Amino acid sequence: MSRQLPPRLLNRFFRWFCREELCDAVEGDLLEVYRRKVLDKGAFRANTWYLLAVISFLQPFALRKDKSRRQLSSIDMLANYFKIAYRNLIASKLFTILNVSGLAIGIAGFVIMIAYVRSELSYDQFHTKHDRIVRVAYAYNANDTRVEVAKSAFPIKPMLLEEYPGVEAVVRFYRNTLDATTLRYEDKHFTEEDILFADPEVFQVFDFELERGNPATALTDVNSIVMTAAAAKKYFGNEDPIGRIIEYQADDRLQVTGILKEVPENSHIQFDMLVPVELQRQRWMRIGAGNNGYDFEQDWQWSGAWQYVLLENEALIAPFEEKLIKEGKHYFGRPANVEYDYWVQPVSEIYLTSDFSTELEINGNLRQVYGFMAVAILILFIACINFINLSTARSVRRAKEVGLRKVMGALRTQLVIQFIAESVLIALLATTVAIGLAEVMLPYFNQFMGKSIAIHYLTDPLVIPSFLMGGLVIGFMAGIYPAFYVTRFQAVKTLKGNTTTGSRGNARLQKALVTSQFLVANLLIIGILVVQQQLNYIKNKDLGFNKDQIIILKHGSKMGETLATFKTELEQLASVAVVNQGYVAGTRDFTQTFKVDGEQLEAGKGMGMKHVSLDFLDMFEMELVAGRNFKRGEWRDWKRTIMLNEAAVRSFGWTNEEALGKKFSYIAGPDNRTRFECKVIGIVADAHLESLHRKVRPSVFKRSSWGDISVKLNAVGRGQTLAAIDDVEAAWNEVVPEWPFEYDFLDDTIAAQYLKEERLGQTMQFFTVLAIFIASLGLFGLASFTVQQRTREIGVRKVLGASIFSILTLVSKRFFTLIAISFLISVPLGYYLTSQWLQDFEFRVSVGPETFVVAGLFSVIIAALAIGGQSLRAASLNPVKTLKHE
Amino acid sequence: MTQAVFVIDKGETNTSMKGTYLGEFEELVLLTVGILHDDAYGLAIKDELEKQSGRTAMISSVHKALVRLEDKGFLNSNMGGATEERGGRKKRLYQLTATGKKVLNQSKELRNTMWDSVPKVVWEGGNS
Repeated sequence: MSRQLPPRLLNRFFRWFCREELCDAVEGDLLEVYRRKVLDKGAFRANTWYLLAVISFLQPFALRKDKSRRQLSSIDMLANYFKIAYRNLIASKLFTILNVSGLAIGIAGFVIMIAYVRSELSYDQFHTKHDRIVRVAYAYNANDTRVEVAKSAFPIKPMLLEEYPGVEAVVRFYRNTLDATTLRYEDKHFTEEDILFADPEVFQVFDFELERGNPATALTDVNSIVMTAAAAKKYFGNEDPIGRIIEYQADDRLQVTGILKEVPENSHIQFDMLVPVELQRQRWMRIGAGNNGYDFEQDWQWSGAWQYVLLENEALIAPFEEKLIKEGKHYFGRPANVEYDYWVQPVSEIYLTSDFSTELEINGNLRQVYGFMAVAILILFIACINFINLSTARSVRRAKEVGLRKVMGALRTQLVIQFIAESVLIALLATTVAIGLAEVMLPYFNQFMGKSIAIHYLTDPLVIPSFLMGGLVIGFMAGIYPAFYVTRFQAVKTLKGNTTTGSRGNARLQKALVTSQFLVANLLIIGILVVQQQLNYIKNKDLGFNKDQIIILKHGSKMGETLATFKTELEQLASVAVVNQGYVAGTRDFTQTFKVDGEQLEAGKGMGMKHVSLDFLDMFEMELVAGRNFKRGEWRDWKRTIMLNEAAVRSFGWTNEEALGKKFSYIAGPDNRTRFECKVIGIVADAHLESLHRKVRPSVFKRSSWGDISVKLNAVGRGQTLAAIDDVEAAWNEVVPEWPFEYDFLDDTIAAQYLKEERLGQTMQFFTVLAIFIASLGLFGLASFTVQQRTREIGVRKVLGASIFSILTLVSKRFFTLIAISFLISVPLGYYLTSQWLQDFEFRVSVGPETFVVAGLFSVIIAALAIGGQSLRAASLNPVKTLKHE
Repeated sequence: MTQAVFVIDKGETNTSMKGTYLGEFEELVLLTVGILHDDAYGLAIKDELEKQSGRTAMISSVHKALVRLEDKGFLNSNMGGATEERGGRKKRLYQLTATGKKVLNQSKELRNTMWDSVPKVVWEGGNS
């Protein structure tokens, strides 16, 4: 018996979907045939047939029309909701475009910002041991300013390994900034910027990887080098780079022992080549020839290395730091004249929280990340407000629909659901558009920020769900008010066409929303104006020295003996004004401890040390306010004299005259053994030799015969400048053909100090434009809606003799009132926020009233553009046409 | 300003239009119901139809046609006897209604009239 019945599941399925009247009849027929089939062709064929037969009944005529479903009608009503939603979107294309595009732009801006913030927060997290790697940093007080240093002295490493419990490994990084590094392989000779010296344990501590080569031994040999595949290709083309010998600075031969994987972008340590720290040590040992060579492993004075300590576990960080603070205070038992304040920085926090002058790369800034996050949220907020405003305004037009639905028995909940679903639909649509927009905008954003952020839609499991969720949440949040607002209408009133009046609450909310929208836009405008002013101020501020038409030769310090020839050659050229060897104004400098003769070692002060040439003052057009410059040719003068700047004089509490003739000694070399005594012969006027983030640093100028070579050109305009550089290059190639001729403009080098601010300014601009655009879209929408609503009123007014101007005022007055209010709020708020930001600068603009006036005017103009067109159209409409419809 | 448009449900509109039209397959089903007289239920109709026309029909198409013909008012139905070989399920037995008979007649007459209007030559001409 059971063999003659089809699978029960199929039967149950059939009974589930088939309508009752047909159920028995059809099932009976099917069973009859089934029996025949079983007898004829066997159970399997019969079952297959039965399955197909059941499926063939999945047609509308046979489907159950459930009574309960019919009444609550989820499917039918949903279909109807979609239909109505679609028709509404199509019927008012302008509103749809405004709504969707405003929201889409807002979401796109938000998405980009979040991608940026995420990438900023992800820095150095990719090291598997990141939670137990710390960097040693310290600070000391010099002339009442706290100087923070990211680097520390080389011999600290062996000390930590020996005396500190729980230290697994220490990796030091060093970058040679004394001259540019070149590598040569056969005829390929390039300058390498991204080369770092590292201890061999680098691959053990960090997750920097080698594509090829053994990470355990890659840097153990002094003469080894690892590089990225891209770098290797530059030198070796398609040859196998492993084992090749490459020439380092013309006098060392290094063997390629590994190919590096590209360093991830979210690493605060960036390089594309690594060489052993030991290489630099041996090079310096060699220069001094034998025993007198400089050995940084013995030098406790020079903080030359970024040192990263890997501890055995996270819990050991605290005791490690404690010991470091205690022993570092008096400089690990070595004679020191200043108190040091050592501490450790967790490696994953360095990028966002550490901003010393001696970082490896330009770091990020946590405050800026929060700031950007706030801007992102504000932009999304503006976009949502638009959405709410436009939907609410438009909902009036749907009053009749609501009324009718109510008459037909719709419950309020159902209507609310309908409207919320509609707004979710629009939000999802906008999200889709936003993805496209974000893709278009990302390249520009990356360009502004010097980043390469990408959104990995498919590989990152978070992206698509968060887009969906985001769309849903935004749609829900933005839809909830209009939904409740519109469904509050009374059916009778709406059908009588009586909806425009009696919506005071709505108007109030709309006002608040428009005001806050313009408040945000105003704040952004004020922000961008202030950032721009500060940037211009920095760019154009008189630094106290001349930085124009000066080039710095990258390989200048390699010239040695040939410099004299080079200098004579250049000085014959009309296109060259001065050739200078030594400190270049506005670039890096050294710190040296000085004490006034006769005082204790402990009374010494750390001051900037500038090794300059005779031509220094002349070259940079710096002013000598007292005393004299160095004298040409005198040996005694050379060794025993210094000049101070005014800030240094002030820091000792002297007058310029008192300072002249004062004797100093400065302390150098391992264990403070080497001392030089010298006399102050001149006072140099203060100049901003360091970045404007800081005060003018008390500095000492000492004569020397080494350092960068800089050339001041005698040229006006681009053409002459290029010609002059050609002349210099010709001379260079004649005298030192073995080194490439490469140079930087001094003003570019100085401008690079403000790269961070420059980027901030550009990003702000980008998002301000977005915010303003969205806000004006909204205003435009509201204005055109108001105009539509009041077409007849305007017609009547015109018939009664109203002028175009009075109608313009009528329409736009309420918007401008709101803009005025938002402006008034934005003034104190903007003042506060921008002053906060300006605190970062020692030298800054003051935020004057003109900034606010400009910002205010700007938003009024934008508003006028957004509203004006619509109002003007309304005002100039022929009243006959508008009134004809009555 | 804008006038509300009342959309009449499309389903209803369609039914009234279909009433005047009888498809070829529907006509065959209708005739088969007539042939079977008092035992016209789904499977029997299908079998008879296949036997008469020599073509195969799906059981679902037959039921579909029956439902539509009933909707159009050409057929009546009532539940008939259950047999053991049907697993105890009742049959739905169909009868022609007056309109059903009328529409069959109309269709036959139409054919006859048209048939008669075809010139004799056409039949006799053979190859032209």
